[in-house]
Amino acid sequence: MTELTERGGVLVAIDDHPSNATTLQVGVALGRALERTVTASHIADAAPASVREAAEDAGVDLQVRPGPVVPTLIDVVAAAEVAVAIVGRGQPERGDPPAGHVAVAVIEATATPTLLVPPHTTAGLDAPLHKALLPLDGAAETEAAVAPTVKLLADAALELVVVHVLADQEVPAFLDQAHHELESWGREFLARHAVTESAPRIVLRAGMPGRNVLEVASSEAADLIVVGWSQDLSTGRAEVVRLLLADAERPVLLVPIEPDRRAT
Amino acid sequence: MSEPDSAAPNVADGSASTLAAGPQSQPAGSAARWWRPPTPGWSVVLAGDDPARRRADASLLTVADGRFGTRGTREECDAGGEPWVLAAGVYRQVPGDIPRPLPGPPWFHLDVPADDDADERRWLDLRRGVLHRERRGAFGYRSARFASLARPGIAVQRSTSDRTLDRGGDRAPTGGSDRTREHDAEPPLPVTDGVRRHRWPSDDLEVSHTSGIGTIIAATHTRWDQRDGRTVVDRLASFEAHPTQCPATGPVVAALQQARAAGCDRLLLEHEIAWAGRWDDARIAIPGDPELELATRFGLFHLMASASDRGEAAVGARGLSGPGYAGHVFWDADVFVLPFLAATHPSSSRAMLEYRRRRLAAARQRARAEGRAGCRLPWESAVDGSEATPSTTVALDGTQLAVETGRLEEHIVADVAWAAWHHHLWSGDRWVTHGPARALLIETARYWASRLEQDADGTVHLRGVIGPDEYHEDVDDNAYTNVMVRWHLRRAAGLCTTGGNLPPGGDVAEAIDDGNGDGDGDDADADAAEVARWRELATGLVDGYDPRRGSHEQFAGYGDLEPLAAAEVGDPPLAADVLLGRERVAASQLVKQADVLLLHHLVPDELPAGSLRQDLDRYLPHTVHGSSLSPAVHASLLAREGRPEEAAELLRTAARIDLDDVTGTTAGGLHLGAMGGVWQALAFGFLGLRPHPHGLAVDPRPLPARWQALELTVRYRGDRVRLRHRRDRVEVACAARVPLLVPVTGDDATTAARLLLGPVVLRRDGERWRPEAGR
Repeated sequence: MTELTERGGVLVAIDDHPSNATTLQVGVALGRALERTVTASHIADAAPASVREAAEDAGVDLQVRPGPVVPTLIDVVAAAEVAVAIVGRGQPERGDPPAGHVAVAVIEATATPTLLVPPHTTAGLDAPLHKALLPLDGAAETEAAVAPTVKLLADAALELVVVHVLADQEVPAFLDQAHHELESWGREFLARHAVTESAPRIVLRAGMPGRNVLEVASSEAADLIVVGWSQDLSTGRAEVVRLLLADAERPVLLVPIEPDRRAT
Repeated sequence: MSEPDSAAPNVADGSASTLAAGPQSQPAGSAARWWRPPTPGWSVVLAGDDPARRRADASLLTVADGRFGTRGTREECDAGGEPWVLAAGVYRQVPGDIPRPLPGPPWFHLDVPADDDADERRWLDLRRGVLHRERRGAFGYRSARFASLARPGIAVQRSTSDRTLDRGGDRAPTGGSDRTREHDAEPPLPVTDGVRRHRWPSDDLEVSHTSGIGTIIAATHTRWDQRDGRTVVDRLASFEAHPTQCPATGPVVAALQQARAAGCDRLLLEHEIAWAGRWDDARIAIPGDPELELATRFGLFHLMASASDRGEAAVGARGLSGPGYAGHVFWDADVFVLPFLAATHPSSSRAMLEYRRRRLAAARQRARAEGRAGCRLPWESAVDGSEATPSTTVALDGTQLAVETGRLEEHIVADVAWAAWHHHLWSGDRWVTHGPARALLIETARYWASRLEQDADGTVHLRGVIGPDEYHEDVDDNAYTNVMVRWHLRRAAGLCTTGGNLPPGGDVAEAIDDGNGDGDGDDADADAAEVARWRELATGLVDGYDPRRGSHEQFAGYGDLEPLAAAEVGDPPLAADVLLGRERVAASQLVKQADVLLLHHLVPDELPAGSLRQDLDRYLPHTVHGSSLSPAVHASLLAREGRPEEAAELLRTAARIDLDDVTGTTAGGLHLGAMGGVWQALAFGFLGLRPHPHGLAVDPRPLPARWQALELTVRYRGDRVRLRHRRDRVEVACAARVPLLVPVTGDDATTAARLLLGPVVLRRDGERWRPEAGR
């Protein structure tokens, strides 16, 4: 994963949906931030005019690959030259799963970090991407998964804000003076788990993890949310990711945890 | 973290490594002094290097001299090791933020080549105040570091290696967001001409400083001895600091030169002797419970290392061991740290009070600004004694939250007065009763007199405060605050009419000179009318005591709150406000820490006889111990109530807060208040020690089954008093002139304190204690 993110480009998967323009704009903004080549990819025998025009408007090359959409797109996204894939989140059916079936298939199948873009996001449209929110739960496997991507973002001078939602079992035994204690606690959490030397800030919350991450993303005006996950959206799993995909107004960058490091 | 076993390799025995006697060709005795192995009961040993624990370990292994502290970061200053050097009471501040500790120049840096396969351990020798490091592997390396207790401001580190070390690495690390070091490439000091480089060509003297609101200056000298592929590096550092000014450099370098002239061996010897002296007056032993014994000594070591015994001592909540709590001084210092020092080294407790006294001008100004008289002390104190508590914080639900402690937690005013009086009772120091520190009792009492409200029925109230139980803010008639105020008013009134209440001849602390002060005591007297008013207010002040229940109401309306028990929330200790949210906790009877119960600990004579049991029964089930100060106080009270096993369990919790990094915040520094509380639980709780105007009270209680004995040494008005509680026999060894108040049960089964002159032996007779025959 480290090698991949260090040398790859940004690939934006587009179809002929009207939200393509947004997805492409986010892709271009990310490409600029990372100083990586941005390429649009369309899976079909031929690209319709709307797709060609969208790519042209965005100023990116368009690659057209024939074949069945899902497996072909998975192959394209998984290619070695792709550092980050960008896929429209799509419209979920009945809200479960919380993303379109193509997006779900891609994020569950590939090891490539994939940015899911909500149809109506404004991130990156009017201004460069400048801030990424990094929810961390303190699990080593999550940190290992997101570390290369976080380095990529940090090298691109994006401001990183770590958010940690205290689980009941990790509530400090003592909280003498909350304003000092939580500062110390957060400082140490960062020192142990921040996965980057770029000195991010930390925001601590207590309560429902997903809802808190959404609120912090909003209050911090983050451009995107970076989440490590185990690529399993089945019912009862990945509650935070499901909520973020369903309700986040900003793109969510899903970074798979390597299968052999996932918690059972 | 473990007690070293007796089979631990002896780094000085010649077999441990090629470093056996060091490559300096020193006398064997000198090498043995530098490379002492861990001592059971006296050494905190940490093995290996866990990057996740580096910062917490650095706090645990801090060495300090009361003025300057050096965290136990390794010489190579590993990533994330936070090599802080702290000076008491010296801060920096950026606009919009609160004052925070100013990191001083890191003086101990040395390039020690990495060796991931090496077997490494470090240990803090509590008895001698030396941090040792030993590494075995591809090459051997050892170091010994101390902050001289004999010469505060001087720090020493000797490193030896069986390889040649890189001399370029002895420069202090630079860069990093927290490092503000300014390196003087060419120190503008004429004295640098006097380092005699011509005599020691390998020498290197360096002067550096950091500046914020105040300044810390360090002069360092490094002596390299490299022969036959081996290296010995002696690093000497001299520090000076000032809270608001830049100290002159000359004296810093002069002190360094004096230290150099003495030599490292002598410095170490002096230091060891100084620590031996401190321990002689603060001995603690718990035969049968070595883990608690070591944990307690660990705490006492850091308490002694955190408070200067000259000038003023700003003892922050984390002492000199880390930047946590912004280095601010809270009531922890006065109520939890000071009593141990007052009972063992009163020049340090006096220095702590001097810190408060020198900031009375700001307290006076604040009181005036709030339309009050006298002095109102800050909840959080830093540079000048103005309120340093931030006004807002972000709550865990993301909302902006007012921090009300700075505005409402007023009991600090009475706490400091109590601390001053406590210091006086232990030491006999007339500086409190007849000197400038009298203002700490008088001008603060004047504040209360202007703050209290007297209703038409004559009752007196204190409305809109926060007590120690900070789960309940802006309450009326908090029992703790009101009773402490009542005590304070009466004590101040007594001081104005009868002086210190010490008997003739008993009010001399030879070790302490009376200070002349700077005029702060000018207002430290009151006329008869004012004294009468204080007494009237004290008499009318409601204290929440309900004679029918036999217990106190924590504040007006407490009993109407949801009677939520701690056990319904979780397994204490726990931060219930995080688990349940602030509003829910505030609407319940959950208690963060001892509030009413703290009165029984601090001013038991102010409370009705028998109310401790009722208050314990009432409040303990609701107490979640969400404050690190709480377990030790409850341990003390449970010991008083004859519940030793419960007491020991809480005592263990308190004693290991940092050793086990229970809060996950030890990286930010050590919980000095909890450490002081542990001593109090042993001294006040199990031994029943109390300094009284007419003698030292000794009122022992049953010990936990595991303890074979409890041994403690204190100083009472200049005399050393050694106590040994051996379950059914308590020996109090002291000079024949020491007045002791011991409990004696008469034929009518009532127990009263009887004044005896020491030494004395008490024998258990059923539930009673009786002096041995002939006394």
